[in-house]
Amino acid sequence: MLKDITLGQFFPGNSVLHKLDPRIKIIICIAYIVGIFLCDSLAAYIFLIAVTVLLMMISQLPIKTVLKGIQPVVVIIIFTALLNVLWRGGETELFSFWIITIYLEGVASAIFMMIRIIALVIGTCIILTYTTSPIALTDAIERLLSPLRIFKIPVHEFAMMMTIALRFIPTLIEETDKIMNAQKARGSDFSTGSLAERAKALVPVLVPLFISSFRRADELAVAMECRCYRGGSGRTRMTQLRLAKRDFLFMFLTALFIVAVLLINQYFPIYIA
Amino acid sequence: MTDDDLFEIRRRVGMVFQNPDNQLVATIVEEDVAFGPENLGVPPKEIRQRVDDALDFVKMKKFARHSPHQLSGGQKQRVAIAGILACKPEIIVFDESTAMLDPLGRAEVMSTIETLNKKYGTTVVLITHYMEEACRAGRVVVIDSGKKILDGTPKEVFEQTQILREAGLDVPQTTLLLQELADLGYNLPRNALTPEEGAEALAKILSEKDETK
Repeated sequence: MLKDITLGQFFPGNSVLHKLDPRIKIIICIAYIVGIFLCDSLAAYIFLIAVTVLLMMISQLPIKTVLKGIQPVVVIIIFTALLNVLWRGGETELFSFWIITIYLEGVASAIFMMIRIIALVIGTCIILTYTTSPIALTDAIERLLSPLRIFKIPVHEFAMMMTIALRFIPTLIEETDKIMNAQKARGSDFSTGSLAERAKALVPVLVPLFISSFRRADELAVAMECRCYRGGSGRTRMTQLRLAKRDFLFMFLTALFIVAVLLINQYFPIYIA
Repeated sequence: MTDDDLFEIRRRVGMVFQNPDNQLVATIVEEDVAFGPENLGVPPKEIRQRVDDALDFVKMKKFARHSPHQLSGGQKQRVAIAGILACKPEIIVFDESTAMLDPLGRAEVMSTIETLNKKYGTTVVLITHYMEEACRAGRVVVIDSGKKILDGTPKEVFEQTQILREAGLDVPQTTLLLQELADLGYNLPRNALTPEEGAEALAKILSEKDETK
């Protein structure tokens, strides 16, 4: 049952976004987030929606999966929207009831806030998590942060830890499954009883899991040393990331996006809020 | 011994361990095989070449882009061997590398080890509890509580049934059968190792018997 858990949210595909260099994707993603927060006028928000929809189309991901990405933040979206609607003051009163007065400005800023959050979540999902494999992502982070080595920050070691964690998640899930079955065979019950009882039933699963993880870590360390591992210095890599034309094209488009947002803010300053 | 000495030893002697799961580092088979050469600072193009060759050798080429947890125990162990091969060591030590595998996986790994030794001349040190595996070596050393108690060719070693028994080890079934028959007075060798060898020896005395009739 635990085996069904999928790792990360990566959806393999063949779109341009999938093929983009992961380093460039991280940079584009950051630039895109900056772009979102630069949006300041109604026209800019419309432009932002258009760009996000365009990204969605380029990624060739099914709309359903993309929209699913918003699910975890729905509560936050509703909460911030409510706060904006109820507490934001303004001049144009829409209606007033008991102690609640709602202003047009409040409604407008609530809508903008929602667009911002949704664009943020969908954008990062499409550009990064949905179209980049976890390994490529770790690799890209290592390479992007590698200049920090000058400041003695162990970038390679962090990336190595992430890779090993990714490598062992399925192994540990399998092991948990095995231990749970073994405990079930001895009469342990995981599915009935109060929450406290169920949590208690998990203790005999977690203890052996921890012990075996430590043993695994120990063995892996020895195996890694035997394969001449000495940390990041003096290491080469088999796969060399090389920037292709499409990477430069997307960087250019991203720059264009930010410039466009700034220009729209400047020349179409249609403010409601 | 300094760290550099240790590194030099590790460069020349590869180790394959018992549990294949705890030896694989990367999330993709070929990345894992590349791990060793990457540590040695081999240029990228050559790493690619070594990885392809090593995976080809252990017959895991078509799984190059798989993730380790999709593989069987024997396949994982073969990937681990490929990872060591890619480092091009002079000697490879197999530390009970077949102990956790099912019979099929064990056969796969053993035949890989054998080709490695016979065809490519890599020195193989195989630590094992399976006497059938020990029979296939050129030289067998029996160690009990850290002391060498027997040393010789398989034929020489497996003749010493008594000493082996005292050390808690078994003798191959064929050897045992022929030895017990020899104790009964039949003219049979005490050091036949493989079933084929045993069958041949038996056939020989049976035909001799026919002739004397």
